[in-house]
Amino acid sequence: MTSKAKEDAVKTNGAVTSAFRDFQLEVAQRRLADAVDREDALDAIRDIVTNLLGSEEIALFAVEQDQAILSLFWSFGIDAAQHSTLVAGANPLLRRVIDGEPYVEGADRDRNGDLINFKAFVPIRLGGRTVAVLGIRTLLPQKARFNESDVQLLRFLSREAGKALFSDSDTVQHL
Amino acid sequence: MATKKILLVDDSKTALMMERSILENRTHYECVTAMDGVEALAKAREEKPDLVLMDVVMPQMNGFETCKKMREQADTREIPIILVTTRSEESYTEAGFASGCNDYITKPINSMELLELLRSYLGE
Repeated sequence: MTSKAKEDAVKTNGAVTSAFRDFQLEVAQRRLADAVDREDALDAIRDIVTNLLGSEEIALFAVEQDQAILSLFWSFGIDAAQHSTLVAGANPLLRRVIDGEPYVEGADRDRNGDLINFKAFVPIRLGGRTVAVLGIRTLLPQKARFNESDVQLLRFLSREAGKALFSDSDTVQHL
Repeated sequence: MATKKILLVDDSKTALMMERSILENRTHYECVTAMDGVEALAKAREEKPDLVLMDVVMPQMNGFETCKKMREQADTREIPIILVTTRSEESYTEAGFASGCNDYITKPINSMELLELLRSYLGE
């Protein structure tokens, strides 16, 4: 392959990757927008995480008022009893998540090294605060790590999933 | 040259939307969809697709069973079938090939991999 052909191939692959990222975000947006109630929104989140991100072990934790404890209120494919609560306390990783910054193993290696066995924690934001945390425990065997498109999608879920899950008057405290 | 038609089968709305987006934006293939195996069998006979891209885990009739039934029917026997699954273990792929599928692709779908695979069966 000539250098020009190689350059063209890289450009083409880059364009496809970029378009793919846009498709992922558009599909996730439509899927969440179609949700008519919380159950539907939870199903949409499960569907997005399984089909677009590649995980079948998902948990959604409510952030308690004092932000010290995360309590499991919905899960898919994980042992609910084993993950019923996460103690945020002074845990720096979970503190950052509650402050609004997603934790993504692989895309954010420097900050890894914590004892919590999840691949990602995504703050679900609503009204300028974190009302819940989406945890992704493992990835499918064929998926080595999150890529850049995945991180964009996780950030999208952080911004948008809360609107589908909770109305303004129906925050997680009222579950 | 006639447009090639692909039957997309998945009970996941997200998977169908994603596959459709990739194909409608990056290829000239026409897409039709079904959300379970029973509907897929009917659509395959009615629409006569050039290829079937089908999920394995579905309600009513799973992808393996649907694939087997398509191979038993004269009018769907020759249609290439690519199974889509979250499982990549050997036992799983073996079960797929035993049911009569031509190929396998795993979720989450990689757009480049999907396009290359489809082009290898259908051309541009």
